[in-house]
Amino acid sequence: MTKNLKHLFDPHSVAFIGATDRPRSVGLGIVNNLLIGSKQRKIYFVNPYQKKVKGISTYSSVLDISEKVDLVIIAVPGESVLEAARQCVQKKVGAVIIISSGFAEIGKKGKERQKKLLEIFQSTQIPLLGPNCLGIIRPKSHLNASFAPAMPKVGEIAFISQSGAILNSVIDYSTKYNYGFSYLISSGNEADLSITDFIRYLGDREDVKVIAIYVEGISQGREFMDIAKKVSNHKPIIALKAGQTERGRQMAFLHTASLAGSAQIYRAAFKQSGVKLVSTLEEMLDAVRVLAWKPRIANGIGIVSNAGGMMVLATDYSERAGIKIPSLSLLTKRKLKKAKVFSPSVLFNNPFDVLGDASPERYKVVLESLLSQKNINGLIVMQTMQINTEVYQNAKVIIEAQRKWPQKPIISTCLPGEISASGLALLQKNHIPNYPDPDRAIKAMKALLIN
Amino acid sequence: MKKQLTFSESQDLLCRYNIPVIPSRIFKTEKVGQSLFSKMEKPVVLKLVSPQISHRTERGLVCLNIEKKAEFQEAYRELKQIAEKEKIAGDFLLQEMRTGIELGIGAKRDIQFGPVIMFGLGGIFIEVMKDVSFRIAPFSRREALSMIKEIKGYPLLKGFRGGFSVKLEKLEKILVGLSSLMIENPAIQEMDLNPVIAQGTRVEAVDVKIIVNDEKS
Repeated sequence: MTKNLKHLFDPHSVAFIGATDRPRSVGLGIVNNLLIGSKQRKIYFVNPYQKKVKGISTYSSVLDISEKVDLVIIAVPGESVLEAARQCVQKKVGAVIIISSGFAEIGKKGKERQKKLLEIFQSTQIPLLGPNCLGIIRPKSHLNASFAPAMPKVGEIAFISQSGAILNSVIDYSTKYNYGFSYLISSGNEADLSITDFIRYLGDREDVKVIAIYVEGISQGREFMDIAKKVSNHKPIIALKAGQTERGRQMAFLHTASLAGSAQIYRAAFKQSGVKLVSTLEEMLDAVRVLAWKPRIANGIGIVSNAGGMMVLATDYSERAGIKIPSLSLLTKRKLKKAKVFSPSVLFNNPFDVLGDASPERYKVVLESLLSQKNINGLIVMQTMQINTEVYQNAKVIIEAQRKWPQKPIISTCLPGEISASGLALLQKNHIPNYPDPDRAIKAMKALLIN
Repeated sequence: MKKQLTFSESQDLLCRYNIPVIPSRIFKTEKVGQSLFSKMEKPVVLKLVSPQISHRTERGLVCLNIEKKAEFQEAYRELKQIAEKEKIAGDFLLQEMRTGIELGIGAKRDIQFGPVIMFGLGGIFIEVMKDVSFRIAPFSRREALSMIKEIKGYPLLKGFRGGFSVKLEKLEKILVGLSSLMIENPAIQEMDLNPVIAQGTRVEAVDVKIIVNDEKS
């Protein structure tokens, strides 16, 4: 039975049980975040002990609100959550987020409490997020039903995390690199709604181009696989799985029948359901950013560099990743020759060495020639800081080329420093991702490949 | 309560899913053994089988390379003596001997994902190199092939430097069969086909261990 998540993600009214203006409290954080969207929706604060919060009159119970309430956020101490939840059920609200901790994560007593909580919602259709979570964020509609420290930018990435703290850092990091999200979901203890429910929902959303999940454990494995398989058919899912190294337990499988460690089972499950498993947070963020910004392509790319060393590295990484680097066609070579930006002795190959003294004009000729070759579907453009490398001007060249060939993603590789800063910022602004290391650039390109 | 199926029970079950077991005969007395021995392809292996024992080779309960009647008699008496001395209640097993690539195939039941099938090269490859791949059952032959190709030792299956090679279709069918077996028999907790000896189209399980949840207890 699938619950309707509309009221959770697109509420017209939100009530917050536990609203307070006590400095440095989680409650105040949520109050401030909710007020960001006060023009978009009606906000109600519930606090029986405080008449006003931030100058806004409070209600002593959610039951005292006469209007319909779509979403309720509960952040009160563990033992009072149950009563607040009962009132939500009585009020017939549309969805509930429980921020409070003190449930299954604290052991036996908490598990008991979580069981009682589920009983309260059992016979209802009210979707429950949490408990023990950070909340949700929808930047586009200014919905920040969380205690995250900042509002991320608007974008097309959906991020579901079983760790709230990781979300917080991701928000900060993403802002610096100019990419944004359509959904940020901290799923907490997953007493009711789980990663699987969210993947199912996000699979149909038009403002989601890629789904990233940070997973510690999945409770209904088979259902997860079925849903993920369906969604990953048309939308990439990137997973970061924590708890991969129980090596000791792993596999004395045949010998002593102490069976396979769960790490491999997860790996198999992800593989069979089309979910791409990454090994670091950085790799995950690199992949989602490029997937949000760029179209997916068939295998076959060009590599352009003003340094032989970088080119060799990139070639190694491409080989390892199974990325094809097609040779240049006669037509492409003819174009390059005709442009007269190289001395006649220069060899034209892919990967392409534009040489250390490359001018923006030379980069332009090479980029355009390579991009017009049919089986080159994307480009990695590398710059090292030679005495006459004009990163800012080159950035303009790259942006212009990308505009001309929007279906062929360009990824920049340049170790960022003082000289390159302004040029790389310009690229970022224009949704050309830059990676300091060719390995990261190749992995990002790999994420774009349609198998 | 968990219990281990006997060799014949295991053999019957595998047979229903077209998972070949090396030609094997169970018997108790020397006389029956001798008549079975005379009808089998030589050489053969004689083993003592009992749910009580696991590390058969280490305990000297296996006699290899038996070609002649006299060798059979000698092996039988030797094993019989050990069994009596160590109070092992069990039967004797005669198996034809095969050469080929040693493989290991297994299955277990995971709480979250259900039946999981494991595949790897046998012996030290599994124990030392940990070169194995996993898939969640049920799966198709295509998935089985990707599972076979995933192990690092895959080139060895293709007949590396003139060594034995394996008909991959055979192997795929076994993996898919095992995947169905686990889905259709929820009482089975884990299985271990180790070794499976493969050469060309002959891919046969030599040793089988199947652990089931015993409903009666």
